[in-house]
Parts: sequence; C-alpha cells; structure tokens
Amino acid sequence: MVVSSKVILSSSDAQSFTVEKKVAERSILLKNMLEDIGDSEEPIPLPNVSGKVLKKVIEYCEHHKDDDPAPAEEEREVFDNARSRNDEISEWDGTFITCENEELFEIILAANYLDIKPLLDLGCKTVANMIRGKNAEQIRELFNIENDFTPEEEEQIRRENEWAVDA
Amino acid sequence: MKINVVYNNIIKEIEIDPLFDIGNFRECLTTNLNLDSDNHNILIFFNETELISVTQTISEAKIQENNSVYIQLTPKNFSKHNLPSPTNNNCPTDKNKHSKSFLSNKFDVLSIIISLLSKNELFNCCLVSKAWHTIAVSQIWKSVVIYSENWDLIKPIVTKANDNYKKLIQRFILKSSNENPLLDTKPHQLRRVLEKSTNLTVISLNTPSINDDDIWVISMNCKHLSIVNFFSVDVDYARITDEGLQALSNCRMLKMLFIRSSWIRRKQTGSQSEKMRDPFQSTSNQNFAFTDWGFKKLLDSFCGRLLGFGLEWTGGSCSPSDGEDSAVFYSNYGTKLADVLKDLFRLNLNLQEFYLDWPLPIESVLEHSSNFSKNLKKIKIGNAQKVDALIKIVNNNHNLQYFSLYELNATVDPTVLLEPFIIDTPKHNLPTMDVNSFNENYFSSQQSVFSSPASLASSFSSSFYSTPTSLMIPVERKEIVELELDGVGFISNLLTSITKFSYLKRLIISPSRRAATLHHFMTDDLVGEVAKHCQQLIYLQAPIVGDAPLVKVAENLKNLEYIDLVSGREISDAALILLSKKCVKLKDVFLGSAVYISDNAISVLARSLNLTLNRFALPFGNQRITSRSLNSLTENCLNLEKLTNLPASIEFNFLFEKLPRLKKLIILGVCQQINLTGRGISYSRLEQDLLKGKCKRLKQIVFT
Repeated sequence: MVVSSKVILSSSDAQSFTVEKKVAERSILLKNMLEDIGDSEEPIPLPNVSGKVLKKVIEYCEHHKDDDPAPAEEEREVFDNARSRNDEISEWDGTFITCENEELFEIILAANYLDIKPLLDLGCKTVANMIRGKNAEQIRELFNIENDFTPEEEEQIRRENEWAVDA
Repeated sequence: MKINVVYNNIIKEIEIDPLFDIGNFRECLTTNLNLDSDNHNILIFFNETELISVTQTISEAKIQENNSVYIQLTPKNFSKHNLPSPTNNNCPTDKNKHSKSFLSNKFDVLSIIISLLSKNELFNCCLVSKAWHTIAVSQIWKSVVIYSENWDLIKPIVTKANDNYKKLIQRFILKSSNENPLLDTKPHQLRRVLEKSTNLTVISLNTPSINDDDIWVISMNCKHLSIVNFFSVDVDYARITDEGLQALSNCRMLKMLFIRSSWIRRKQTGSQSEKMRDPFQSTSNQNFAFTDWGFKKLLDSFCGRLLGFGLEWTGGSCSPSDGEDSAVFYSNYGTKLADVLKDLFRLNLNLQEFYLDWPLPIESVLEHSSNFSKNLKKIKIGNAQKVDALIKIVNNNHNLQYFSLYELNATVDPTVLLEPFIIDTPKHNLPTMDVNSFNENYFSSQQSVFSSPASLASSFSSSFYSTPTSLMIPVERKEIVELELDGVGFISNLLTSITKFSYLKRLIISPSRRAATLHHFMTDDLVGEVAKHCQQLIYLQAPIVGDAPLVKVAENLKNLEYIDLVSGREISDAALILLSKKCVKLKDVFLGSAVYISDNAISVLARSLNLTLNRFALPFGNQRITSRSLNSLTENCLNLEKLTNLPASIEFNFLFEKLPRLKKLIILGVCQQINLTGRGISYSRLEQDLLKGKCKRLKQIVFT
C-alpha cells in the first residue's frame, strides 16, 4: 500500500500548510490523531496555533524529521541533584529558537499542545537560560507578571527559602 | 495516599487511593474541590516533566510512590479526539491576554522550565508571584541537601518552616565535610522536619543526628521511605539500636539501608556486672548498638525487596577494656549476627549493594554471599582476612563496577581479585590519536552513573558492550568504574593490574602502614602508568612521591576533580604548577606532606583553579609556605569550604584580615609548628573565637 504522505494542517487564522506525514508525526498529538482517523484529505484544524507559529513549528519538524524518536526518560538517580541534564543546544536549534520573546512563548505553547517534546525542551531550556542571573523583579518584567505578594508575604517567603541560596 | 493538587493557585491536599482510577479520582476532586469535574479534563503532572492527560492514559497513571502531583483542570474539549474550539482558554492567539498570563497559568510548561534551574535561581523564582512560588518551592524543597556544619544556618528555617514545605521534601541529605563528624555540630531536632515530611523517599544522614525515638516517629509518618542511611553514636541524641531497626520494619518500601556506627557495646559503668552475665537479654536497655535480634526483626519485613545493605563500624568505643570476657562476648555476638546476615543474602537475591565492616566473622558471611548474590554492583568490605570468598563474589557478579576493600590483611595479595575485571576493551584496538575523543564520548554517556554513589536505577547499557570486539569477552562483564583499595599491601602488583582498567573513574589506593614507603620508586612509575592508561579518572588518591607521576597525571587526566597525593614528599613547584594549569576541573586538592612546595606554586594554583577549588590541603608540616599563599588563596579561591594545614606561623592579624574573604569556609585546619625556640605556635582561644565571629560559616578550627 502506498501511504499517502501528505497532511494538510490548518491554523487558527485559517492558513493551510501541506506537510509530509513524517514531518507532522513529530507531533505526538498529530501522530495519534492520524492513526485514529486514518488517511484523509481533510485539513486538520489546529485552532490553538497561529499560522505564523505553525510555520515555525513545521520548520523545526522538517529539520528534525529524521531524528530518532526521543529516548525514554531515564530514571533519575536517587542521590542526583538534577544537574545531570543535558543543557546543550545544537547550533541549528540555537539559531532557530532565537526570536522575540512573544514568539518564543507561543512556540513553547504550541509544542506543548502539539506534544513535540524535543521542541518543548528546546524552548524551555531557552527560557531557563533567560531566567538565569535575574532577580525576581527582572523575571516579572521579562514575563510581564504582576507581583501578587504583599510585602509581608514576600518577606516570609524570603526568610523560609533563603537557605536554598547557599545550599 | 495524599497528593497535593494545585488548583487556582492554591495547594490543596487530598487523599486518594494509591491505585487510583479515573472514576475514583474524579470523585475525589469533585468532593474536595467543590467542582463539577465532568466538565473538565484533568491533567496530571508528575515528575515535573511528564504530563499525562487523564483521558488518554489513566490506566498507566498510577502515581508513583510519593510524587507531589499537580493537577490542572482544563475545559473538557481539550482532547485529541475532540479538537479544541477557538474559544479554548489555552488559545495563544489572544496576544494581550496571553502575554499577561503566559507561564503563570501554565503549570506544566513552567514546571519544566523551573526544573532546569539551580537552587539559587529557584529562590528568585519563588518570589516572582504566587503561581511561580508554588512551583519553585516544590523544586527547592524536593531535595534538601546540606552540610551538617551549616546546620545553624538552616535550623531555624527547617524547624519553623510551614508544614506545606516539609511535605514537599522527598530527599533529605545531610552531608558532612569530615569523614568522622565531630559531635559539636549537632543537627538535632531533625525529627521536627522529618516527621512532617510525609513524602520522603531518601534520608541520608552522614552525621549522627537522630536516635531510636526519632526513627520510630519517622517510620510511622514517612511510609514511602526507600533509602535510609544513618550514623549511630553512643550519645542520647544519636543513639540508634535494635529498637530503631525494629521501627524501620514499618517502612514497607524500604529498599536500601546503610548503617554506620561508632559503637557496638555501651561502655559499662558502675553496677554493670549483672548485665554482663546476660548480655543478650539487655538489648531493650539499649546497651548495644545492634544485635542479631534487631536485624532478624528487620529482615523479616523486607520480603526479599532489599537492594542495598551496609553495616559499618567507624571505630571508636568498641569494647570495654575487660580482656577475656570481651573476647568471648565478641565471638558469641559476631557469630550470631553473621548468621542473620547470611539470611540476608539468601532472602534478597536482588541485592545490588553491600557494605560490611563489623566485628563478626566476615569470611563466613562473604562465603554465603558468594553462593547467592549474582546481581551485586557495588561492594565495600573492611577488615577482611582472606580473599577466597571475595574471589568467588567477583566471579559471580558480572555487574560489579564499584569495588572497595579497606584494611585487608596486609599479608594477603589482593591482586588476584582484580583479574576477573581485566577484559579486552575496544579502546586497545583504537589508534592512540582517537583515544581522547573516544573517551569524551564514553564519558558523557556514563556520567549519570558516576555521579551517584548509590545507583539504584542505573540500569544503563552501553552500546560498547554490543560491539563486535566484545566477542572476546566470554561473559559480558561491565567495566570497573570505581576501585578503592585502602590500607592494603602489594601495591605494585595492584597498580600493574589497574593500568588495564581504562574505564576507571575513581581510584583510591593507599598502602597499609606496614607496606608504606617501602618501594616508592617503583610505585611512582606505576602510578604514572595508571594515569596514562586510565584517562577517565575523576577521583585519584594514590601515593605520589616524586614529580614523574604527577606530570603524567597533569598530561593525561583532563577530567580530574579530586587528587590526594598521599605522600607528595619530593614533588616540585614546577610539577604542581603544571597540574594546576592542565587539570582545571580540580575541586579538591590534597598535597600530602610535600616539603619542597613553596608560595610560588600555591599562588599559581590559586589563580588557575580559582573559583573551582572547593577543598584544599596545603602540604602538611611544610616550612616554606607563608602568608603569601594565604593571600593568593583568599584573593582567588572564594568558594573554598575547607582549607587545612595552614601554617600557624602566619601572623594572626593577617589571617584575621584575609580569611573572612572566604565566605563559604566551614573548616580551617592549622598546622602547629615548633619554632626555633622549641615552643609550639598556635592561635589562642580568644583569637579563634574572633575568627569564627568574623567568618560567618566557619564552624571548626582544627589543629594538627
């Protein structure tokens, strides 16, 4: 049987993208869905993802279409302090993910929604790197978050968690 | 079991069935959160990174042992079968709304991001907003790892912290910067934290800090404990006996138990003669650390699930000095205890780690182990007299990768124990040019194994084992990764074998007192060979006397983080400078008793290793080191936690001015010196107190 190798994806703003099935299957959500519905000419609506972001996500999936499937999460070591993670970002990925914060956040949300773990990891690592070295106020600015603590609450949290800074 | 549900930024604890299913779970949520859960899909997040949509994989979503669980409720139409409508509030198209709320209502994504950060950064995150706080504190408290010497700093927080924080603790690890912790840094009241930490899986206490009563309380409250490591001493706040062992049988998930003790039988005082007559009846009086009775009780509760066991005596008050009586006692006591330990092997065939150093007939225990255990990964044996049973153990356990022998009878040659580990590795077939890149690749793939002393879950399999070259290996044996041979004879024979272990990451080899310094010229050459052939070494403690082996170390061991020269007697400034320039990852450096080292080399080392250096021992008794060395260390090495063998000839005023720059310093060791007039130089009590007052963390000043 010749597998129909194209899939049509439709973004929230009704842009259509025709991609190889293999590329679309980088998304676990789409992979499962394609298994369920079988071959179909119908475009798949992705109302959570704008055309601009979807284009970017497809670019990522195109580039990584021949990667091995993500290895199963290794069980974490019992005495390990969560520093054994691989924080390295490949050159292509680094260039790919360099974009406006707004767009980066949208890519992360899309990767989360579409269940593309390597892209989600890439986005999260990038955001984590942005957070590094910033104090609470700078983090709030970065993400446009309102401080919803009273000064007393803030002081208490500071007191109770201060040990972590030195540990 | 109880889980924490995060809903609308509020943590709520709810009780659920450990083998929960969706119906049961929805019911729980509906009643506890007061909502109509039929209208929601439920996302469960555990292990921070995995997110499982209940609708998709509920059958697999058993919550593991004790994970703190986040649950995010989203409208029903968020599902793979039923694609979300554009009105879904996850929709990122409404930019204004989204940029305000991005991450704040995204526990899943935010959890992943935050799990990538260090404790230091997490602290800043928890002050950002309530939503961030919820996630960041769970990361901060998940694993509490502290030095017992820093206990004063965190005691008030740990004892007064609100109980929600304590519930987040899964691993509580109390480290010690001393092998034999001093008793004046008492991390007591630990119970007040641990009894509330109902999600604890790991308690590792390398400092005496809890007693039988504490263990009772902890074992009743922390039902998920799977790894316990403690240290018993004969003082009230840290005396653990059979009672404590019995209490641990409450922990039905316990898989590993490591015990260290500095005592075995209580010092007899006054009217003890009647107890002596019947020593085995008096266990309830807590006159013994541990006996066969306690272990018997405990073993019965394991039901074969034990993966790790350790019983080590750290010396100290072993016996009252009452001669023959004592000898009879120990023979009796040891035999009974040994019989119980034999059952341990028979009943726990999956045992992976085993440490033993206790006054009992070790040989007969080992003999028994060799008949049953096939899955050992790690063993550590102290004060064995013979190697016969050990040979069998090595031959029978192909997964053995961590092997430690302490104080083996010095007349026995342990080299024969290493022979089974010698296997032809692919490395020998590679051209020498490739060795470095090969090592790097291999190293990175193996790092996780090394970074954990107790490798509960490291069932890794390296692709190298399946390469054609492994045809040369009759049975697939894993390469030895850590080897400790401390206080043994036949150093030269051993070192010759060790050169064949190219995957070795950690090596401790030091001669017994009898064998020390007998033929160091030969050992120097061999240590050099080891450095040349075992290029993955990270941790090296070996007798290095002259420059030659040190130069080899510098040239070959790029990943070295720990070096202890043991001797170092004849090394020169030049060799030490080379080492500090080449091995830039060195964190711990112990310079033995190098007499020729001067300020020049120390200054270069301080500049080269600067912030990496963590623990540093100047050469013991060295007469050339002056305040210049101290100056460059305090200028450059701001992360030093331990600095020892500082010559007492350094002016106190200078010390007082410079030392406080080392803000992380916990232990200072001072080398007392005899000056020309024959008077010992030291610092006065007043001076020491002044120093401790000015260095916030400094807890101990040790004189040698």
